[in-house]
Amino acid sequence: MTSLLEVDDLRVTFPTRTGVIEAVRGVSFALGAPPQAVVSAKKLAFDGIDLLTAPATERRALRGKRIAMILQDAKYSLDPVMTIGRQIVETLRTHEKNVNKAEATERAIAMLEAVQIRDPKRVFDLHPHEVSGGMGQRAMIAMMLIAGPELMIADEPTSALDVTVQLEVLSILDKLVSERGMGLIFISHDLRLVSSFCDRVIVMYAGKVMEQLKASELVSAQHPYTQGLLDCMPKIGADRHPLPVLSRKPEWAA
Amino acid sequence: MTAMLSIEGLKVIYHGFSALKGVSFDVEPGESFGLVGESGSGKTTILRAIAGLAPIASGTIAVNGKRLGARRDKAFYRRVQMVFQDPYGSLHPRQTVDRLLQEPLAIHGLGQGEQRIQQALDEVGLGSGFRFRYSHQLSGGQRQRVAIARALILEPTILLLDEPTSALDASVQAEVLNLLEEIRGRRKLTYLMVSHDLAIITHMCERLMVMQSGEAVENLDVSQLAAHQVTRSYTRNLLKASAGFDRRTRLRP
Ligand SMILES: Nc1ncnc2c1ncn2[C@@H]1O[C@H](COP(=O)(O)OP(=O)(O)OP(=O)(O)O)[C@@H](O)[C@H]1O
Ligand SMILES: [Mg+2]
Repeated sequence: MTSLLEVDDLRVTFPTRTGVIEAVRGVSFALGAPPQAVVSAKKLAFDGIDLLTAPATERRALRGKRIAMILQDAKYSLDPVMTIGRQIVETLRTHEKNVNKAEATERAIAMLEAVQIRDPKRVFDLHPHEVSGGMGQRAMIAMMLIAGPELMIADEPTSALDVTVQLEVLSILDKLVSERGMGLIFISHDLRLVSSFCDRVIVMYAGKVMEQLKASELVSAQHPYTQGLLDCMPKIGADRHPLPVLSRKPEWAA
Repeated sequence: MTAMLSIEGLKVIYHGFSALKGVSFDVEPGESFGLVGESGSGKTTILRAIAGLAPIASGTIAVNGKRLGARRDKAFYRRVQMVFQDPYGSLHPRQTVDRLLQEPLAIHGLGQGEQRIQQALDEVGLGSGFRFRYSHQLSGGQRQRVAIARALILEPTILLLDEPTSALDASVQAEVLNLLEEIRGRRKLTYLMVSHDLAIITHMCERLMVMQSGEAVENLDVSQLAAHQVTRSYTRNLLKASAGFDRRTRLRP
């Protein structure tokens, strides 16, 4: 049995003029059926396909169609000179070649509606700079969902949304996970959301995994970094001025 | 007392679409006033209208009792500065921090640039080591500090803050919120702050306005919000949703 996604000892470095930045330093985890798969070799594999050695054409075919990514800065990831509707339609038609224009338009509008955009027909014809922060984020989500991916990597997908819309978008993702078996990697700063929405959590600091635990157990996390994060969030009704801040320990980054 | 910021019947229309349908509120001197509400409800549009960046169809905006005209002059931008929603878009990535801070000084013809830049960087807790970095080499939190430093360098009295910490992790968020509070106390600033996080608003503000579809839903003291003493069902939903995700009570089946 294989997992949907396996990551073992992943390292990412960026060479810069001022030296090498190690952004990811040996991260390992697995996702998808079976839920608690054990990774044995150093690899990065999607559905058994080794992403490190797969030819570029194969990887490109995976991207967008089977693996989709919602980027953090949605409005800047969208093409500024193309309307939102056209971008969604084009995404759909590159992945499903036999869909005609009228049907693609209809499905794109339905998808905008599904992500709770109030007036999908108007937004369909707007350019990215003409929508609000949260609308841009949902347009990006709609564009990624329309191809029906098996794995969704969502980087802060709801950070610009108000809390009620946020929950509505999360229930769309939740439905895809529970009913269609989509794998979801949800990258977030929002511990309240993570603890209530996800199944498992990896807490990272300086490119390394600090701890891995069940989301429901996040509030009783053991690692001082996780505890510090939980403590410095403002809470409704609490009167803590200034907020406690995290004292970062050098050994966490070691 | 004259309000520091007074908005009366503000309407904004984009190509026939009403983004603001007549919004009114006052912000007192030294007060921190929160704007919360639905995505797309017009929060950013209010800030942009004040800053002269949105097409105002009708209504008035007054700063310290003085009604603003159709154009914002230079003096206005010395009094009112804005920190934008996205730290990725608001700073030019290929400019150094030094250039980014020089620019407003040059536009307003202010001298003692050296001293002002140093002071602004100190104030936001960025050492002089950051001065010649490019903004794309900064983390989200550092970038937001630069954006705040750039707004402060002109010594404004009103700061318009659009989701200043939504892109930051909890630890950096706490630092930036503490910084904003401390500066406000020290410089007696007036804040108009947008956030979708009710906890941030109750932490940072004295009063708030809840918005939906270009209109005010209700105005509250933060103590009322914290005690769940709200009158409108939309505000109640916001409070409920703030508790987190609940699989059993999905808002939409
Ligand atoms: N330049 C523009 N052209 C056309 N419509 C615009 C433009 N700017 C904003 N709008 C519209 O005005 C409405 C309000 O947008 P605004 O950015 O004020 O929302 P917001 O309350 O800040 O939302 P969010 O919480 O998602 O940032 C939206 O429906 C948006 O599409
Ligand atoms: Mg906004």
